[in-house]
Amino acid sequence: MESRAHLFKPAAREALHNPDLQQALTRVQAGFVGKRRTLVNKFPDFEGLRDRGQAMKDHTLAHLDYYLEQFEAKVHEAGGHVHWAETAEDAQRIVADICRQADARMVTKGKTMAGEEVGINEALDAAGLETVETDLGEYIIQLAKEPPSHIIAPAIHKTRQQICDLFDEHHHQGTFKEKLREVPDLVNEARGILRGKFLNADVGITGANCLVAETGSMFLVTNEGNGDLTHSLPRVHVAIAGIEKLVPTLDDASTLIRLLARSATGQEMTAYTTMVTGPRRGDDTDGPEEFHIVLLDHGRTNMMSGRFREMLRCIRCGACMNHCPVYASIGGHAYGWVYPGPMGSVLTPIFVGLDKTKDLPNACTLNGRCQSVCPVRIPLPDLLRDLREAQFDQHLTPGTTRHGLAVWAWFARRPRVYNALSRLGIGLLGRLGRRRGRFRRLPLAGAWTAGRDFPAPQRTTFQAAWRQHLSRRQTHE
Amino acid sequence: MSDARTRILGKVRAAMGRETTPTPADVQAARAGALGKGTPQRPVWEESDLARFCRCIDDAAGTWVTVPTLAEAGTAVADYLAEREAGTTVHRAPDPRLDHVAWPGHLAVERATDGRKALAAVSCAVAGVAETGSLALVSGPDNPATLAFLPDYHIVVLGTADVVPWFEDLWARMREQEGFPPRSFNFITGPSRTADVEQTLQLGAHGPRSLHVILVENMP
Amino acid sequence: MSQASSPAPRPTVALFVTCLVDLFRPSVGFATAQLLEQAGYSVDVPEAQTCCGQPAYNSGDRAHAKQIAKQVIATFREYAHVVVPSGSCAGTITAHYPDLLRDEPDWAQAARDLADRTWELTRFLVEVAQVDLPTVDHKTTTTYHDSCSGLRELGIRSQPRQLLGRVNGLQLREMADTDVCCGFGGTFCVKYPDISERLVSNKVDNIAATGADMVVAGDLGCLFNIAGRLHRLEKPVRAYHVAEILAGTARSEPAIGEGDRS
Ligand code: SF4
Repeated sequence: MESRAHLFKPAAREALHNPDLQQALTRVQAGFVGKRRTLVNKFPDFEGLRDRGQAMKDHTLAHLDYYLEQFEAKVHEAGGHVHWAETAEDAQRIVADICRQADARMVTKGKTMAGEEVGINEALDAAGLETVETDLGEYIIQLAKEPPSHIIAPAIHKTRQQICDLFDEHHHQGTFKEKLREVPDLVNEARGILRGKFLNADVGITGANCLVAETGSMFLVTNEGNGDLTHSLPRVHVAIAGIEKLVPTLDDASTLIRLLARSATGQEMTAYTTMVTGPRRGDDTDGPEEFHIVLLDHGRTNMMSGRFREMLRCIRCGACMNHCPVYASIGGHAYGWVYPGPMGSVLTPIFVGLDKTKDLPNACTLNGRCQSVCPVRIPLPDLLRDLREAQFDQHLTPGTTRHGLAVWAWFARRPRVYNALSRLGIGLLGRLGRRRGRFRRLPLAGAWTAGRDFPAPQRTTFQAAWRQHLSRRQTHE
Repeated sequence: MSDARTRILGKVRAAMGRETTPTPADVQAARAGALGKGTPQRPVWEESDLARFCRCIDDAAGTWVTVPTLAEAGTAVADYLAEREAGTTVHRAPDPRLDHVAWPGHLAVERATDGRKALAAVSCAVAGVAETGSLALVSGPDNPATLAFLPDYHIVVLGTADVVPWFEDLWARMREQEGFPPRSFNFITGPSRTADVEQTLQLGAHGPRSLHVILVENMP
Repeated sequence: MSQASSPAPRPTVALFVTCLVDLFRPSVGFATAQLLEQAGYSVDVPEAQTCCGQPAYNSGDRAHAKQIAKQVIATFREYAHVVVPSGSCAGTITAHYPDLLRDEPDWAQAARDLADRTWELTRFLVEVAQVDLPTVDHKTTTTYHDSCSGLRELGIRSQPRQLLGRVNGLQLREMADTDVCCGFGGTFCVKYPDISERLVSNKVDNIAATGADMVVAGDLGCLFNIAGRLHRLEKPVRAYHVAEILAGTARSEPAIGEGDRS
């Protein structure tokens, strides 16, 4: 997918003034935050579970070559194919080739963020295939020709009214069907249309929530059941997964799923959690004849050596964006690429390039709420700060900021000069603002005073007043 | 050996500062060091495993009923379909255990090799997990996977003795079984659902609109 | 024991007043010093202090951040306790200096040492000083804003509430989303003013919804942001630093952003 992250500022401004989007975003809070909290409070030792999740993922990443090889051998044993994709182009070519060899005409897709990352849909379009997204949210945004705005609720930016309009435009053309209004009707209509697609698809493409080295299996977690219809009905099942999705054992997969379900949707278990291992067995009466798994690097190995390896623990639960006040204000599209919110602000600069994503690491107050809910304890604010440092080192930080910091630091390291000058400046500002107590406008502070008054300082600096206080005290004693 | 494979694994090793894949013994030792031997953190409950299991099914918007023997499951199926006005035809999985069911005469019972034609289907679970109220279904000729996803009404038969407390217990049991893992090992927790329109929960997105569990006290 | 035991002499505490308090609200510094003295400590304000370096650190300017950190470490080397009336600045010292200086083992050690001696004010009063402060009266309905660094880097939540609970006449009313950022974020508020404005507007809405006539917090950054927005919207909620309430000096001092009619 093409990145639009360099347009963050205008996109964010537009989002803040988009009433439909703002209406839709109020639901993020209501839908996810409360449900997660209830379940976390109910769990006897959720902090311990997070520790274990972190330790398990760290261990896996530190031995990723071992677990990848073990996984590959087990997939082969089960009769599946393993493909290795270093780049987005590799992944596109591999998937397009599989479809071509299968003589495919129609492809159904379950939600896959790795697939979004490498632009699988574009590749399938180019190969002349009909591709149908089957997750209801993905289906809605496919009709709207928009990218997802949330990693687990891709259409969260859409209001019901907008979805009614979309369905009317796409489903009712040339019919006398009335425009739908209610959620059950919308869901039902999509169900009917997509059922036909499921039954006629030649290839089904899904992502994977984790890959299990012990058995060569992949786990797929959904609530709709679309993932299962996607992998069970067509002749060929292709799964795309980043290499960081490995976990060692089935027990580890259970740890991960306990974390994922609670952190993502606030459920103890999604309606469908499925462990898929290879293609249809000899005497099976349904299921695909071929199973392919595409193991995607796409920059992940570059993250293995430094601090950003921590980001590879990410299990794509979306909790960080659900709890991010910036995401809640501007939604996912402003971030400009596949992954929005805190995790996206770390990943996009790494995948797309620091120079094309200058705003992302900075558009954050470093309030740390994301880190406090991340099921695998990724220190997202620290990683964002590290990216700011990389920007600074590569001279991507704006000149005004750099110089401002240099001047300020010069003073900050010279307390005498600093104290003398600040006393003067504050004395002046204090006198000016004393009566009213605040400024509606101030030179050089336009960004602040656009939406806020600027509280006036008190008469003098603390340092100056304290010295006075001390000498007064001495004379008294 | 594809080049991409060699390069990806090479980069992983380079990042970890080694030239070859670690040995299984080394990895096991590292794992023991990182994760220790204690049991993982997981939910706990005071009631019996079966009671917890049933409560979780309720929470997930599923329904359940208990019958003494497998034979009586037939009446339970008929009652359920009647109550839901779901017709009188049922597609049953070929699972031989279902041969013990006494199907009431008015039901048309068909053996299904997949779920394509079924409106209501009956399959057998190998286990239930009390932790989450999940049914564990093994795909195969006995229980075709699509039978659990295409029908509107999915009825699952499970022996009460097959309810295990946690997932780890299930894995321990399954690892012993021949043919494990199957192509598709399905954990089903309530009917299909979506919240993709305005975060409003709606049942019956793509899979079954309702899920009913028949718990058999004396499963053969 | 028949004799009333006089409290053991307490060590001298260094007050790290923070740049915002120094420049904009000295009354917070005085209130802090008063509270520490009432708790039996004598208070030193080293003259060589300016700022903790957070603006440089959070802007990716590691070199300058390190220089300032070293200066702070040197300035406060001698003190048994360093008390800071800000969760944000205390958090920078305790949670970030050791990492900032990780490449220089001696300095990293000194940073960890300072981190162990550095306390946010309310936490210090509750967990270290552990004395009953003189009672103050302040009849008001108040809501408390948790600053993000205090809350998440230092675990400050119960301490200020516990202390406020001892103020006569003060009734505490919690707002919704207490754990959500007010949108200040240091330079964030001027780099992304419209996003910041949205965040502070949400915060102000939550404050107003409590019906409280006062909002109190432990960080001047948040308070300036919140008070600035409250004033712009002409909401009749007054903003004070928690130290000013606890010391009882708030009643004689105009609230943040309020004019001095004296
Ligand atoms: S960074 Fe953490 S919270 Fe965010 S999606 Fe990844 S795992 Fe979830």
